[in-house]
Amino acid sequence: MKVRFWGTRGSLPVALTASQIRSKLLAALRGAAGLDLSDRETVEAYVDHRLGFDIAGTFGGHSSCVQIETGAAETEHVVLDLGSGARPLAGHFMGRYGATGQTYHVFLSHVHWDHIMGFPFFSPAYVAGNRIVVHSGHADAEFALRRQQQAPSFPVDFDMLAATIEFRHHLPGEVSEVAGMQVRNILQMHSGDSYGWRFEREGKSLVYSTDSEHKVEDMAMRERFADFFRGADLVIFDAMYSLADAISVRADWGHSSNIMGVELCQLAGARRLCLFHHEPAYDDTQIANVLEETRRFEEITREDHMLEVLSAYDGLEVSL
Amino acid sequence: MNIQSERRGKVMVVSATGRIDFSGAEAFRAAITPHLDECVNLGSALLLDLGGVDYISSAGLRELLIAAKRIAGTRGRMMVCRLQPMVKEVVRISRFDLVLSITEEPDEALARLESAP
Repeated sequence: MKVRFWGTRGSLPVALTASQIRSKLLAALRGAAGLDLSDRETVEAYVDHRLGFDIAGTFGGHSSCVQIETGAAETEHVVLDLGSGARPLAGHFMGRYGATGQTYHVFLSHVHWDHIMGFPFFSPAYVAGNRIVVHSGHADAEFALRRQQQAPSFPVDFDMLAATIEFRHHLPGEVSEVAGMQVRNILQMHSGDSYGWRFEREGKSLVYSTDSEHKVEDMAMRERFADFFRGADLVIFDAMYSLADAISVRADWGHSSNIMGVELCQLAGARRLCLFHHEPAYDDTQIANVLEETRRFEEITREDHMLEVLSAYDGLEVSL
Repeated sequence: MNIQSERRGKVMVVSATGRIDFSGAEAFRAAITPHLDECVNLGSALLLDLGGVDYISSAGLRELLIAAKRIAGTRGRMMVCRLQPMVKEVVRISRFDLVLSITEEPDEALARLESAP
């Protein structure tokens, strides 16, 4: 099972600004002072190994969209949420698998705009012979997808889409078999509800838990999520806020923190935590700092179990 | 979790030792509540000396926040002092250093709390 991230930003897509790119260039050039960068290999080594990811790269700005390569059927594909990252993912699908004859299983965390806004740009939906199955804990997922394509919001109505589009409603705890994986969901705390998903195949497990607030004081909730995360090879977790913000000025906003992600994964014995749904106001340096701090927090609170901490970026691939 | 307290002038000093983890947070709350009530009723200041606390979790941090908010609601003041290095790091990483008044030394905290209006 392989996980590929196409959109990792919370709430709203963002783009690098000219000023931010200039800052990266200045930092890279300052860091190169005194180095002999006269050949291509040395330059690449400098960029790839000496510069931090926040300088040499970017965490990206697309809103939530994650692909699972299950390793099962060649014509069945799995997508988690349809944020703006669904547009480049659609291009990837069309280029690699052809325009038609594919089945796309889409699992929605919920139907807030940042998680569905990519669907009108998901080109396989426009091609006859494709099948799209939208899996959701929300009974009104079809309504949400149809409404965002109604005039005057979008020029192409949902009914103009040529693919076969189906909607499958999943109840929490119910185990289904989809694309060669066992799938179940969990109800999460978020305005209008959201659902986390757990996928298992051939002894590997992935949890996708975004747009989910965790009340520090709620022991029952803590145990329920620890059970859901139990032993997962990868937990993709909403770490949008600092803990202080999440339980004070941004309490009841429906999101969580890096600290809560570590604590839950430690309790659950998960192997890897991937920080996700990055705050749109954060630049690359701030997100990189959150990652470093989270790794440090994991280190100083570790008991007998090591948790690897990653930070999602558009383009990240993780093999389970 | 062990709590000791003493009044120093206008300031109630509460010293904690042990772990304030998920299960310890409840005991911590129960132990500081009477002192918190007294500070709220008298409008006095509270100094939490965490020099003996070697671990604090999100649940423990929440208790600090609740205490600070309760005191602030009565125009009182609360400060936290003598954080062990590990606790200090957790406080910084969780950004609680932005919402709590923290000092290294109890004497400095007492002076600031005593001089508060």
